[in-house]
Amino acid sequence: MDNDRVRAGVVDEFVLNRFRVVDTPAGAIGVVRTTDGFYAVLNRCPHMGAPVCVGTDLTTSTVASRPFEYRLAHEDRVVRCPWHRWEFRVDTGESIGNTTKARLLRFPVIVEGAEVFVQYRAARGAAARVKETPQ
Amino acid sequence: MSEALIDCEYHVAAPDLQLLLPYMEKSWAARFVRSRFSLPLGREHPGGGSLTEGSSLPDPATAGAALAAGTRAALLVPHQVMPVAGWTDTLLCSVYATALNRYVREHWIPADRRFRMAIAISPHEPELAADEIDRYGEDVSAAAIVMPLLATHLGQTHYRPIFKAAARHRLPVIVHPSGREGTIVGTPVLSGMGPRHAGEYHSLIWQAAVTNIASLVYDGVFIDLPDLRVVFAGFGFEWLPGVLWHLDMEWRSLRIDIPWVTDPPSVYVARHIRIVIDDLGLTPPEASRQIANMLAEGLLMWGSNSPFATNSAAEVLDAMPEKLRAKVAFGNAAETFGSRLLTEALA
Ligand code: FES
Repeated sequence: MDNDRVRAGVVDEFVLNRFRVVDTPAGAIGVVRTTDGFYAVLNRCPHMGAPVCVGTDLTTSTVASRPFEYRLAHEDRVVRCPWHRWEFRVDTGESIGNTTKARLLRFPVIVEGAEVFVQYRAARGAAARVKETPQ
Repeated sequence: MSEALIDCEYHVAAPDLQLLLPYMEKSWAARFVRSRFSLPLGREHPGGGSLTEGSSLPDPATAGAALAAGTRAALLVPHQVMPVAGWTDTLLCSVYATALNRYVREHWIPADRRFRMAIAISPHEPELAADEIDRYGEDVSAAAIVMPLLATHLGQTHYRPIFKAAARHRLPVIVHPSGREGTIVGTPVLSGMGPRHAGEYHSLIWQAAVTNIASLVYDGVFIDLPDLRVVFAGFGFEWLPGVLWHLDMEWRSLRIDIPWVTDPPSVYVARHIRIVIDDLGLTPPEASRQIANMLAEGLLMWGSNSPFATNSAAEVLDAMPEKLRAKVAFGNAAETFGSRLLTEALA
């Protein structure tokens, strides 16, 4: 094991859009394969710390529309927290619909041949616990 | 000089059915007489429980002099329209509301240049209500619309003709308790069964406001009609901060189901909803101050609830944070009801 990366598995072991959670010195990190590559996020919701990667597979959400005209969007890029169902983009870490400024903490994934690694020292984004109050 | 006030809730009533009959088609007037229509008591506040012996029926000739010192404008709320919420002859309700408005327009508006009408409508027949609003659309003596609530929530399409007419003429819609909530099928449900006692009713009536505020925001009414304002009068205000926190929290969790709601619900409430404080109930002044401090600055507006007032203007305003006092007394109502409220030139 390199001192800044942890092996997450072999490419073929990854079911599309389903996280594998690996323990690292930076905490548990969920690694996921999508149709446009691998992503990794801290398995800890910025809201209240839920294991955000173990709720559902990456899923799809909705975007702003006229009332009662549902438009699906963010197809298979949404991390939906199992506790209070806040939603984040897996690739940017940002909240869907801007419901919070909090983001998922993201990590680079390196694929070498068939091997998948996560670089746990290179976190991007802020995972601070947030408090939201009415305006 | 007294502090400037806008009275957002000044109740007026017709003391006798005879005063309304000239404002109906003859055939309808005959029907009101034939069926021994009993005019709702003007000296009873909707849902007031026992009659208040002390409250006398307001009279247009003396009411102007009875306005609180400093009053620059008073919105006349014909509370006799409220009981229509529990009536079943929905066409009769509309004829009745129209007659009330014509009575107020002819008997009250000329009596004091500070009087402005809240156009009374029956929500049962929304298209007829929209026609009634259109009738006063260009009349500067009308500055608002007022109606009671039905069991159907305000976000549902039933009310859209009313809200479209209101937005078209930039007239805020005031909703006010009917006294029938929780007691008659077709009116808003209050928790559990119908309240047996007036005290229970008064303690529960805020629920009808919460249900309808949530419905207006979640059903996207203000996205369809960005000029619409809805004013809740007579429901209290002390419950609002907790409701807003909860609505915002639920939005963060379930925005996926209401994607048209692109801001936290509390933002829509601050933009589009107003609350008239007509008394403090039993909320201690210090608590009222703290609660008002948790709300958007433009939200609260004073109304006297005359002639059923339990607190003076000074008592209510003294219980507001200093920075909000002038807004609650005057500024927020001026902003909400707009230029018609303060214009001098009235026919
Ligand atoms: S902990 Fe994830 S949404 Fe609350």
